[in-house]
Amino acid sequence: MEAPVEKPHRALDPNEWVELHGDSLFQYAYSRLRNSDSAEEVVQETFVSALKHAGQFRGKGAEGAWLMGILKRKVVDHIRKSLRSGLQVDTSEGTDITEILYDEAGMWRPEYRRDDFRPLDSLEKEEFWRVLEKCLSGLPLRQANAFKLRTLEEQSTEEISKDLGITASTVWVLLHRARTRLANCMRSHW
Amino acid sequence: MLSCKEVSELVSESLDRRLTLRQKLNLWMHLAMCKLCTRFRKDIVYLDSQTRTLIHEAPGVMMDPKVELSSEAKTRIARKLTERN
Repeated sequence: MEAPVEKPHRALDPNEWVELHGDSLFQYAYSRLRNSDSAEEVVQETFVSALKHAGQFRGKGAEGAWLMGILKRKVVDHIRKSLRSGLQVDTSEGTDITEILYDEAGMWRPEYRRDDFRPLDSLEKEEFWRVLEKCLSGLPLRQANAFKLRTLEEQSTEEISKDLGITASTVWVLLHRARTRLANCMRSHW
Repeated sequence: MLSCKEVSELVSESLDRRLTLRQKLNLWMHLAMCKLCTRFRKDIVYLDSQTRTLIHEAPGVMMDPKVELSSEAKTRIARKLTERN
């Protein structure tokens, strides 16, 4: 049995709560995780955790922001977990992108020596995001998760490497491949 | 002299750690002469900064308003919460 939770000002009605905040929380979770099941799981964890700590919540109107704060941490945890399990099964890294772009001497291969590529900064905001998402979904899982943790969730390389029990240089390699693949994919996507 | 492949590694790492002075010099020497790597660097740096900017300035861009929690999922979650409450 758990200790009874301290109730906030008004009694919490779970149904009402889920009805009121479920969609916006789910939208955020889905935008980061791109998977309905994972997003639902994280939203549920958020509500459960919020309920458990309801005593800590005081402000009335800021309920949504409070829940969103919890959700954001849950999302990071989720990406970490999946990155960690990805390390255990050692899922395929896909073809090494650097072998596609560079020859044995480490020079650009002829097909990438063209100068008719549009630079990434010519993408409009909305388009940039659309293309980024599309290209992220095509990345090997470990690389995608490393990129998400580093760039979307703004974790430091140290945090990522400590958390996963891998060296910083492994993280750099994952990030290097992820970024190279993303840039390459995004350049060819309009 | 660094190869283009080595340059791409340093360019990416420069976003994650402080390069040594020697690495920086080698990097800049190569970039000064190599248009392709300069273009690569510009794209990689932009990829990083624009992603971060969008997250802070326009989080709405990333969210699809059509995405909703299904009513089945809402029921599932509410039931779970009621059990614990």
